[in-house]
Amino acid sequence: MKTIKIITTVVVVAIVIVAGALVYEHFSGHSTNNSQNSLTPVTSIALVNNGSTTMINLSKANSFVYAKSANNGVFTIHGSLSRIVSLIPSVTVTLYALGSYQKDVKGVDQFSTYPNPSNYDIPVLTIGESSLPIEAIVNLTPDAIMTTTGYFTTQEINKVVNVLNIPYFVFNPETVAQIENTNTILGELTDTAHNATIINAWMEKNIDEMSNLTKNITNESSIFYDLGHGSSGIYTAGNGTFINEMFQIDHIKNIINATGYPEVSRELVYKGNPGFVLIDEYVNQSRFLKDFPNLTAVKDKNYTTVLNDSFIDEPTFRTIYAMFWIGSVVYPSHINMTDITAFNNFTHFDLSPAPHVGIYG
Amino acid sequence: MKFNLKYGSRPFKAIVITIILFISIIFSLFLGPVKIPLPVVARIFFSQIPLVGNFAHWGFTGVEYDIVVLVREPVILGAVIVGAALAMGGSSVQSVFRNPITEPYIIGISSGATLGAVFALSTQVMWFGAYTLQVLAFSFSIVVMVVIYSISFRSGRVPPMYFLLSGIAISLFLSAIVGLMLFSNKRLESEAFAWLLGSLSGVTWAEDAVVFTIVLISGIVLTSFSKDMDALQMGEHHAQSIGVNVERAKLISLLVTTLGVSAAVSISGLIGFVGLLMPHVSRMLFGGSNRIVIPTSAVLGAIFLLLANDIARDSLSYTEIPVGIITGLVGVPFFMYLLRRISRGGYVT
Repeated sequence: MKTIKIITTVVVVAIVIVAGALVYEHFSGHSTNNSQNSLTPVTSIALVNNGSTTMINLSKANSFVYAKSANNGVFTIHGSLSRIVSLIPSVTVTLYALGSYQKDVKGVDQFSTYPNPSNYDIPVLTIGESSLPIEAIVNLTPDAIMTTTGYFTTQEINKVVNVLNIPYFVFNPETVAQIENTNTILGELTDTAHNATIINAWMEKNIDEMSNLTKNITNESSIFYDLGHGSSGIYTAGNGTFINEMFQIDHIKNIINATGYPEVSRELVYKGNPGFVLIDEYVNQSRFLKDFPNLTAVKDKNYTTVLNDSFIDEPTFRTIYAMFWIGSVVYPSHINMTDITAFNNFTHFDLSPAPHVGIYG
Repeated sequence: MKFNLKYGSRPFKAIVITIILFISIIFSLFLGPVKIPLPVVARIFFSQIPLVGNFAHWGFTGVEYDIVVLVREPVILGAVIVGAALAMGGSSVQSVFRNPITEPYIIGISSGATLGAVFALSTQVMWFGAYTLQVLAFSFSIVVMVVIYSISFRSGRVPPMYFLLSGIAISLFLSAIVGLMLFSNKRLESEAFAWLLGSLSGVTWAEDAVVFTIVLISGIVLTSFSKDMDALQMGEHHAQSIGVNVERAKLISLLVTTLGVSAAVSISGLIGFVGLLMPHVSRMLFGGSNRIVIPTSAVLGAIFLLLANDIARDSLSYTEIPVGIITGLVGVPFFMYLLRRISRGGYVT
């Protein structure tokens, strides 16, 4: 009986201490400047500019923002964002295409290698496996951090958002439509909306062009994309991803029916018997060939390694390049890289490297 | 009580390590990926002190103030609190189990806290706002420890061997559940991995305030039970023969240890070797009495983790290495050295 009493007392004391501290923090705001101490994703942004308010819906791009100053689910921005730290290459590339890079981006992560930040004197922040370089970020006095899901710890994000009061944008577009919406949203946030409209029109034009090129293909090929070898199988892109949508526009059937980026067993790859195999640049091609010597695509040498996966794996307007390149390697008699609408109209953007240069490294 | 402050005496050594702790704290304030001049850091530090602050609120920018006050200071204080909690927990557990190579994680704290953390990550519940992970890690480790204690409870007593073996079995079981949760949601791997490696980089003042309170209470209670733990160190029969309520002493020591260590782990993740090594260093310096070992190992643990965290923060420009990696790298050679000392009878455990 005594034992139970002691256990109960200690557990109750622990609960009271934690609850008391949390309540104290919540109501006093002593150490966190009245922070809400929560990480609630906000999808509505009110962009106030010259007296007029534009509402932006981030959910259209499968995205959201954590912001301490959000009120009733709306985060208000006055003017536009002008001090952005981009910790994800897809956002960096898009901001560059929009013409916002030089004027608004104040820091990028080490994976944002295009455009080369040293050419623009933009500091590179080294992010770890899941470590946010908080001190270096604060030093850049950003008005927004932009990244994607699953990068940093909740504890670090909380510190950045609720203690340091820096809005933390999470972009996670998963379809071509969401990529276009991301362009639009980033355009509105950085006062480059007109350029976003042009880029989206270019994307649509090329998607239509690809549909025209593939509509007469009767013998549809199938594909498997090896994204990396995990502990129990191979990572690949499945349903609901922009990569899969790219295959669909190309008139190529993905042999994987699972959703997202699943780790699939080798048996499933054999069972799917893809007509073509795409191997990510960071995957050892010889390992794939060793694992699947009897796969028809391997025997027929219908496989290739992507030499610059940023075109294929990053959800940006550059997906269009990848779409044409994949189409041209799977259906060489139907699709050619020259079929892609030229970028001549966009000379005021630097969209280099040219698609073929980028993909072939 | 008469203090002997002669060179080499215990009070002298205690004062020396306390001074080293304060110097380490000040030294740590100047370290970080953003280089801030020493006078600026000093001014920012003094600007926070009531009254004195009125004379030192100039000569620094808002950014410098934020970096020192909101980024560095809570991390430094967090390192001190977590280091102290782990070391005190190690002293307590080693005494209760009469085993020099145990550490607080052996009683299920690490597996329980990991389960709580991974549960919070995988379910994305926000029951306690931004602190859900920390609160769940803390609560789960206490629940797991209570479960292990209950399983080991036989005929009115808890044999230490039963407790240790039950702890290992339950820990392995929970690790399997954690593995399953991570396997089913690969996106969690990186955050869970970071938590398992231990890091103080996201610690806030609010977390420090809560954990400091718990660890302080835990330390006071443990120190007040030091005589009972000294007796337990000599064996349960001996303790009983001198009038110690053995089961009560064990239960309170373990529960209070769990409270303190769980609170610490909830903000830092799993940081190894502090709880294993620092009690031994303390015993080498101060002898075997828990009345001295518990508070001094707290100071030594704080110094060790603080300096390890300095290395973690400053060894790479712009980013941090998880501090658990540093304590492991430093801890293993030191542990081997200790094993040699113990095997030669170098000091009394």
